[in-house]
Amino acid sequence: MSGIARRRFLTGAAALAGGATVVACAAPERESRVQSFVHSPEQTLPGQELWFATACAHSTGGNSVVVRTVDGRAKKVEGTKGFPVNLGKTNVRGQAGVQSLYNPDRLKTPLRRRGTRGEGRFEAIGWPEALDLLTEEFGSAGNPLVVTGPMSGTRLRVLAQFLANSEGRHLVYEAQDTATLREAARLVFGYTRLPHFDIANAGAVLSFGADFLGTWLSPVHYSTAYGKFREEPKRGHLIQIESHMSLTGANADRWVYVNPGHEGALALSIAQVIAAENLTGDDRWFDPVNAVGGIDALNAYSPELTAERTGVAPDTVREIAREFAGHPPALAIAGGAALAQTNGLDNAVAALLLNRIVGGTGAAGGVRPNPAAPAAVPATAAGTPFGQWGALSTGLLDGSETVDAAFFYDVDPVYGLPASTRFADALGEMSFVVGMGTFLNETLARADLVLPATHPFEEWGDFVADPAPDMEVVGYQQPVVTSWTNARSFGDVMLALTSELFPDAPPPWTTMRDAVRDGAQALIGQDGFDRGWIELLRTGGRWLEGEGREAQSDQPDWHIGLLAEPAFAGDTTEFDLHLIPFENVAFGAGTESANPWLQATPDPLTTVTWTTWAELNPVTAERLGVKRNDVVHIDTPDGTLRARVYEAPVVPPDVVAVPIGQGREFGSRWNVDRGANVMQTLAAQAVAGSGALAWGATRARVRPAGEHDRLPTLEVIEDPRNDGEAPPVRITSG
Amino acid sequence: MASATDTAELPVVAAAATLPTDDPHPETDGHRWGMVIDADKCTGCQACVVACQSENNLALNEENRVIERRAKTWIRIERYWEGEWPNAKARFLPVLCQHCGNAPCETVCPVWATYHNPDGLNVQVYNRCIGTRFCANACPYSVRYFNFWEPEWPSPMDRQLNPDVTVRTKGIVEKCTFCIHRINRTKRQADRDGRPVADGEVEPACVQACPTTALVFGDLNDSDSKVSELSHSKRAFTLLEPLGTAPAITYLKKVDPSHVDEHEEHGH
Repeated sequence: MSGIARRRFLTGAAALAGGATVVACAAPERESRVQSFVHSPEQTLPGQELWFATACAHSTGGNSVVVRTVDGRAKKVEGTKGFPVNLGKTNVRGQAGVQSLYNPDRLKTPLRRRGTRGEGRFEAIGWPEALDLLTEEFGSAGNPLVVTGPMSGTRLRVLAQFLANSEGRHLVYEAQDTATLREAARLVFGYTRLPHFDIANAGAVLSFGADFLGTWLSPVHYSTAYGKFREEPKRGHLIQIESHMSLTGANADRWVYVNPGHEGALALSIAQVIAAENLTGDDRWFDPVNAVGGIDALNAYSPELTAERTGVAPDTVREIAREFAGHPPALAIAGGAALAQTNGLDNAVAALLLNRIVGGTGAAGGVRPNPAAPAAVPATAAGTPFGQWGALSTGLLDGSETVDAAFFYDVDPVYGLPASTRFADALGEMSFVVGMGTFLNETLARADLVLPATHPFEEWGDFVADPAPDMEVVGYQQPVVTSWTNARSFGDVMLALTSELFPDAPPPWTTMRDAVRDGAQALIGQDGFDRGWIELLRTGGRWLEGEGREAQSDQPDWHIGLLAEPAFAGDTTEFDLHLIPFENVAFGAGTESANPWLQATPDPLTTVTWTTWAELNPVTAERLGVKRNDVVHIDTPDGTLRARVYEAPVVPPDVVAVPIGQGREFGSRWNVDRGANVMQTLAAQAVAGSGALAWGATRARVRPAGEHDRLPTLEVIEDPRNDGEAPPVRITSG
Repeated sequence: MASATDTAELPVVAAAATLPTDDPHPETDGHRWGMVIDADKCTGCQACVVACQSENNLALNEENRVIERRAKTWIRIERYWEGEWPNAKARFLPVLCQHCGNAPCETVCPVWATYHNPDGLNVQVYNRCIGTRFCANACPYSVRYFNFWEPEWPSPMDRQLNPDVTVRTKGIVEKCTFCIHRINRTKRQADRDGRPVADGEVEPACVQACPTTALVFGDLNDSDSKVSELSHSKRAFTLLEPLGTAPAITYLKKVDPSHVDEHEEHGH
């Protein structure tokens, strides 16, 4: 197009609203396709990038990100600079957010079930029909049930409107529940909120199973803290104690194997050395030790007396105690498989107790109470412990409980709960089930009505960081692109449903945007709100020193005599190995496995991609007669799964470790029929005192399947069974 | 065997200007971009890997591509086992194009598709590459990747493609560019503002993402830059140093507290 023709065309388009036809008639067809700047969306100029702050799609812990958009399309995710949770950084899941956004296998339109439940056969319907069906079923339901993932902020307020009118109940499904850690924090410190673990300023961190660099609570926040922790010249000292080497364990200065379920005994043994050798240099250890039973009770856990059950040599225990207490401020944390034992709460309490013993509470580098969430933006709703899911399932199956209508949003308990809980069968007893999400999953496939949910980059919202980073943090979420699907946000659907069902008591907002703005107004006040609102969206949220920090309790609410022995499902003679499931760094407990970037991201330790593997010590593998790439059956008292062997020298000889996250029947082309779901094989045991799932308390045996299948790994190692018939590179075309 | 007389008569096979010089970093008025990777801070979390794929339009690494050893990641985290149970350890090392001062890949390219630019970058000209793969074979770090297939992104995944970065076709070699598009954008902005590029202003995608700040990028010609300072650390080393490739990437050794005395003794 010549400059004159182009200018004339644009001028005509600008001057004549609706006059494009006139201009187009006067111009060649090719020129008429030029986009008129007049009709560009607000702020958008062709080819010019725009960055929007919003909530991170897939990181846990409450991260804020900025998304680069060009011509209305999301291109790149980066952390929001200055946002105190992630300080401008992201993790692998955050970076992959755009690929979930544009995943072609997303749910695109409402679906109504055609086949039997679980068959996965649906027909596409429109939103009006879907909302009619939703209104009809929930209007006649006596006790509606809403199940969501961890949720805070305006979504909770919107949901509360529905629950208050319908007298329904809300259950929170956590893929890896935090009930044990929360209860331990309450018992040791008296805190009802998750505290701030100040890794950045610690001199020594002693972690019992908490993979804080990979998957635990808020890994991006803790990774930024770890960067500071490792700064020279002070360089903090990291000790990791666990039964399977995690990413954090791989980065530790000292990594120690402990027999599963005996982490609490080891923690008390370390405490005994600190007291016996007076490693704190004063008597600060006396009061907390006295409060939980006294030095005599603690002496029953001297290194020599615990060595057999913990598997840790007495000299090693002493070295740990000296390194821990010798690098103040010292911080002890607990998580992962250490807490997923039948005695996991005791393990957690004993580990966190070390903070009181070395006096590392309240100050920098220790455990600090977090401020309360602001009243205008509700804090994260507490998760529903595993025990309650088991009770719901049992009640539905024996008829003692009924659910007329259930709404599952962005969760997949059918996938994540052990098969022995029979939650899939229990779902079949519910009269009407609605599932809402961005992808089909094992739970949504059993729904009567499936609703496509917007991606986090397509919707309004806000959140309260949990755990908070030692300050009050509210993050804001705004749509950065227009959805390419026919999806709607959970909040908007809930508002529509509430308005339709309860016209006499409608919610005070008609859209999520209104509701979020309303919450923001309550947060920052009426004066200058328009300017403040823009600032909230620009910076990603608001953070303050915060108020309402809880005072530490006078003494721990626990006694050494309460420390229980762990119990395992499976006889030791029949099931000779501990089965340790672990979260995948790339896609956690399987919630993001539909994303091909995350599928292709190598597991940091094994470099395996795309499938499920069984980690074995080479000595164990030799005893079992298997080698790398051999297919094995892993039997537990409650199920069997298939996986390929990966031999690693860091795997304990009496452990088989299997990553969580694969083995889906429903999802996207990238995660269906791939690997196995280890959660289904676990025994339905709960942690005493917290009710969480004891997912580390199942024993297993490994049997060769007589098959061989090359693992997709980044590392190049000669296949031990490659006899030339299966060359590593195939002749391919395309 | 050829005699000394025969050798003298052999034809010249490469222009002298493309051969390694004694000084891999000749003085220039401009920038010399470099990176420092602190192995003591790198956790192996893979955030840099996906950040690079997202920024630079890398094709999907399907399972077969991984099995066939044809997966492409311009930056990869290598994991090394040390020792045997129960004293085994895992170590991580991010490896990407080292942007060598004496780059073995540059001298073997028959069509000058790869060359050294004035900013010290080892640059690949995609539309000049004819796919001999000589450069990939010559690279001692295995960081050059040949495109065996046309890249595909099932619609609408193609909406995510970065318009600042070329999508490479089948039949050519590609590799890390130090996010040259970000460097150029920053330089243009600094020029417009009439000021020098500030230290830390340019961040390749991997550096930007790294949550522990194990990766630091900057101008090695600026003696005050963070990257210059860190590259003189006592823990500094370069990969395959005896080869004399003069990499623009300096690694900092992981600190092992159990060997502090030995390190101090040897001055590492």
